[in-house]
Amino acid sequence: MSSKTAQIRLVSSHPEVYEPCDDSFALVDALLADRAHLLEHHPSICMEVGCGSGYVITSLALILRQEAPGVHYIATDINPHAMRVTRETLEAHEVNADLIIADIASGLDKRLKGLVDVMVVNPPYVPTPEDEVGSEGIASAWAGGENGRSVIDRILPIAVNLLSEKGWLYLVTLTANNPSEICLQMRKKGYAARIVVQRSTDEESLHIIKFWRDIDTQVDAKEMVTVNKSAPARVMESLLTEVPRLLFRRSSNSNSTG
Amino acid sequence: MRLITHNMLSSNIKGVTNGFPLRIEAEKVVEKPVEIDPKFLKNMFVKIDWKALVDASRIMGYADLPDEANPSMLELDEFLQKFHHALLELHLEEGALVCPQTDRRFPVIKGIPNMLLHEDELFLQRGVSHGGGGTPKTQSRTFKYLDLNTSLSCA
Repeated sequence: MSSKTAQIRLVSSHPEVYEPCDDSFALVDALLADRAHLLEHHPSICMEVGCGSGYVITSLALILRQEAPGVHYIATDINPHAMRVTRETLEAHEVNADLIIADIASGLDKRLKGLVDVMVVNPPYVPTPEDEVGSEGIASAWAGGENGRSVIDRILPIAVNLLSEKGWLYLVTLTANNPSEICLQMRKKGYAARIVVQRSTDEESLHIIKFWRDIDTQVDAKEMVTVNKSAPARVMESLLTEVPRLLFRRSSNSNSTG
Repeated sequence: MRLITHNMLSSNIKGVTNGFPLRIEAEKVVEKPVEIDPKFLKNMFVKIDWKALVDASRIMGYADLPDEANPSMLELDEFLQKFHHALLELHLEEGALVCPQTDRRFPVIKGIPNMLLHEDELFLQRGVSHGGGGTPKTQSRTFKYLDLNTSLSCA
């Protein structure tokens, strides 16, 4: 039986491209945990922004392959080396995606608007001095500027523009990024959120947050902003109550990721 | 790059108002057969700019798409096959995408278009790439600082 996620031994590499690590695994685990919903979702177009080694987009294609053959995958990265590595990783797993060297989604903003049903993003989220953001090569994979939010804050409006009415966004965040504030920002744009995977490693505490459009949410957010100044904390609290039953243990699928 | 993606791309150079469709310069085209999915094709039909697809497929050496198309044609197997082939099986492997307004070339190398703009073509640019890594992102950062501050941390 074929593996449901990309296999590490088949993931290509390059000195200027990050290899899959805890954050990538957590994101793929979130997709696996949500697999039944993803299959019911019947996405037509799936997209990854900042695909690096190609581990995540390849895994997504494998997760959906058997029961949803007609899906078009698009992956972007600003690092040309990453694109070549992703291409090799996709080919090694015999799955297809169209690759574009782009700054987030440059060139796609007009014609891809409202068409993306599933977007996955593992952004550069590490707090760094602002001048390190967007540097060439491997540093672009992590340098996130103040609170690690510089690139995330640029991605969110682009994601909202590209997502379809039924579109979902899976985003990797670090505690230092203030995920509750990100959720509140997305609420103002009409998106509900829930944490699909929460994981603490020696170095980082990661949340994989799923966003989806929800008409009621927009109203809620407006009310919360006007009546309650500690709204972000409350958003996070309500999200965290969902975590125990949604928590997905890495050990349960470590075989499939090598 | 397949023509479905070409149909979603436009030139986003500062000041360009009519950046779609990008003109294709084809040096190498390859065909990769994939399974047909009528449901997907029906979903995508309304989102595709038909003229752009027809023109692009002709430049890529495939001339079987009709000039005009309407949703009723999606019931015909023969039409679906042609639409499928043009949209999903033709790959621009080497060549370029050219901005229709400025003639700026976006190169396509090994099937991957490079849509990055030069400094003077954009309002603001900062990078994004993927995270992940042999070591966690934060750890990579920490090492960087440790290297700089070795004497302090060891003191």
